[in-house]
Amino acid sequence: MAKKAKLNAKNTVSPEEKINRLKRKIERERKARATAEAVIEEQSRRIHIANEELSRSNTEMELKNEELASTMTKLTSVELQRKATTITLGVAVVLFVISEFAVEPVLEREIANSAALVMSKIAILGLLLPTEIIVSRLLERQVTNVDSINEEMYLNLLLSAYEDGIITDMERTILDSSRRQLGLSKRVAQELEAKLQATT
Amino acid sequence: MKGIVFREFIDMVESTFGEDVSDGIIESSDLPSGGSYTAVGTYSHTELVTLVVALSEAIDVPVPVLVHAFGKYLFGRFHALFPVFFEGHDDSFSFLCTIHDVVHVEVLKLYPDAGLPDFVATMSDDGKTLFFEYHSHRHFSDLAHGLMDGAFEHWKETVDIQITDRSTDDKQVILFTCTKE
Repeated sequence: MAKKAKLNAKNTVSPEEKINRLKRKIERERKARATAEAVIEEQSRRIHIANEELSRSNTEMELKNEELASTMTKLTSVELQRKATTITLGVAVVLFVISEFAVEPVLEREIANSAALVMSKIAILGLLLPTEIIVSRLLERQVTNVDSINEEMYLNLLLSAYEDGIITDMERTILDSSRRQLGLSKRVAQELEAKLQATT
Repeated sequence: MKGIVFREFIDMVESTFGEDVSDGIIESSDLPSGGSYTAVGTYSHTELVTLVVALSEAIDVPVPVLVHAFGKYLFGRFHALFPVFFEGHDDSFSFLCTIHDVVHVEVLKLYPDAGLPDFVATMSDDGKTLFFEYHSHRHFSDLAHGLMDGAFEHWKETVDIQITDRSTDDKQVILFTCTKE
């Protein structure tokens, strides 16, 4: 319990008392300032630690993103390669059927010399292989067109970021980081964003 | 309790009763902080109780009256310092309903260690009665009452307040039934 402060009893305050009161006030303000500075220092330290933690998490996230992008590209590539193999096999079967049932009977009818016949068959087989290789390459070219896959991934990220209508500083940092990881140029990223903004 | 409340209390005492009174109550009270308060600091609420009691003894005004008056003063100061919380409110009831879920949430973002009272606000269907329940271990319902009166004065409303004490052994629970006239 505070001691009773006999304050109003004094009608007049001597200059010396006034000076002492002001000195006490200054001292309290000085202490308050020191406390405020200590609080600010403590908060700055916490912010610094939080920033470091955030930066570490961001780096980890970038690595994970990179791994994810790479895995997705590989998966897509494997899927398309499987399709390419199936189509190539189909082409080979068609060519085999044509060769076996359309070309070979004609050759056997027209070429009496058995050596020449064998040579002709080998020649046909020789033609089949490059055809298969060309078809396979054409399909693989589609497979290796990862740019469109990466653009689509970046577009998905943009869609998530724009979900609430605005892009925060944190989202912008993540987008920039993802753009670099996906190997997209700034121009392409800007075009994609402009396209998205136009549609929303 | 956040230092801003102490700063405002000292400022109120200084502006109302003079620097001699404010200096006197600080010097006559045995305060752990020594009466040096900063708005960003956190201090024990018992220091405020000590200061109010000292002021009460110094000017011979009952403690609940002083705490209530401080609440009204504090409302005006909060309005001046944090106008953003008052924007978009046409009346006191609308504002009081946001204290717990909006104002206190924002305060905690800035000061996670702030020990805030709980308020449960319920409006009647016709919008004329507000049931405002104060929950706290600090027993500052008079301060809440003063803040509410400050709000009614700010929006120039005449409101009748009925007080129902629902306190338990360890917690003060006061229901303010506010009816607009």
